[in-house]
Amino acid sequence: MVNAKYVSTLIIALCLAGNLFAQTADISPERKHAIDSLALEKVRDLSKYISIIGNKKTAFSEATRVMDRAEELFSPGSEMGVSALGTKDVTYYKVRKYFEHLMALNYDRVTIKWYDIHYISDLERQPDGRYVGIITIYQRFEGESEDGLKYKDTTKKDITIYVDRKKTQIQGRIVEFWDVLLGDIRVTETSA
Amino acid sequence: MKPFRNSAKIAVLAMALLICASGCKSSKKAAEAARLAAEKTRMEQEATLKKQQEEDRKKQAAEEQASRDAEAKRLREAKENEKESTPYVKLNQYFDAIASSGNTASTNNSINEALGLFASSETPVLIVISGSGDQKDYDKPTTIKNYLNYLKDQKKNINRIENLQFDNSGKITEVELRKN
Repeated sequence: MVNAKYVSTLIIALCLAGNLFAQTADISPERKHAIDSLALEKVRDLSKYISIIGNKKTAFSEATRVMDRAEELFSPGSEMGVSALGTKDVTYYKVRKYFEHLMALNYDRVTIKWYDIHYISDLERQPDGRYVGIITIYQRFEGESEDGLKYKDTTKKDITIYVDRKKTQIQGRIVEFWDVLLGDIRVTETSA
Repeated sequence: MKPFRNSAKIAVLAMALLICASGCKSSKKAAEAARLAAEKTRMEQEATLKKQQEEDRKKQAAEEQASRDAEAKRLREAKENEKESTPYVKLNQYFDAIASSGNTASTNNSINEALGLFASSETPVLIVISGSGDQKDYDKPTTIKNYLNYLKDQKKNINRIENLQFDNSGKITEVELRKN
């Protein structure tokens, strides 16, 4: 009985200490807001890169360079979901494969626009110190062939966001920065 | 008649002595008055001198302060001018031109020209997302070559130049930008 009391007191004390530690490790609302905005900016950047890669007018060398830059936005091994009207199947590609697939689409004109980009799950601090959140986007895809074949769809996608505090050396001094990386992009809805 | 004559002599002598004594007393008074007047003059002169010295000191302090203010203003203006003149202005113009250009060839030319301002195409670019002083939050550092290509791809110049560092030959060795 005495032992049980002692253990429960210890657990409560540890919980309080853990909570206190989590609070002190938290960042100010202003800094948090800046990080939230930075993550949204990265998603908008990806949106622009995807439209450049998909655009048939983009030169191969440029598309390849942009693919490299777009790939840098993702954490290694991340996947992108691809869906189509008329099927419930969603195919997941590694992001580089997805970009290559996008560049090779058999249309003469392709336009891809992302809109209504917003958080559906705020960035929350995880026990390992990383912040994780989810941003939702709507993608409007339009592909058109010279023979008049047209395909259009709108896809709702959820993007997992990882934010980590990292250090690097610049000109001999240590600089700490927020590393925002995109994770898997999951398809949640597809409509005409 | 002789006693009378003697008495008269004594009276004259006494009178002379009295006049003499009276004269001495007057000259003492006069000397005291003169001394007091001199003392007063000396004190007035000292006060005037002190006042003059105080005014001179204040004037000198004001002049020194004005000189310091002028120097601080000059340095401030020099720093502002530095930002308003090359290479701050030049770099900003390149940023704007690259972000707003619709022509790939001309954008690439602007990028190559802009790279001429830098010690290397790998010159680090830091982007402050919030904070100031020692408490700054940065985005992941990039290089000037990648940043110029970023402007070209994204077609937006949303970061302003906060600070540039130069080497001895005037080439930029580090860029610090701030998110607007």
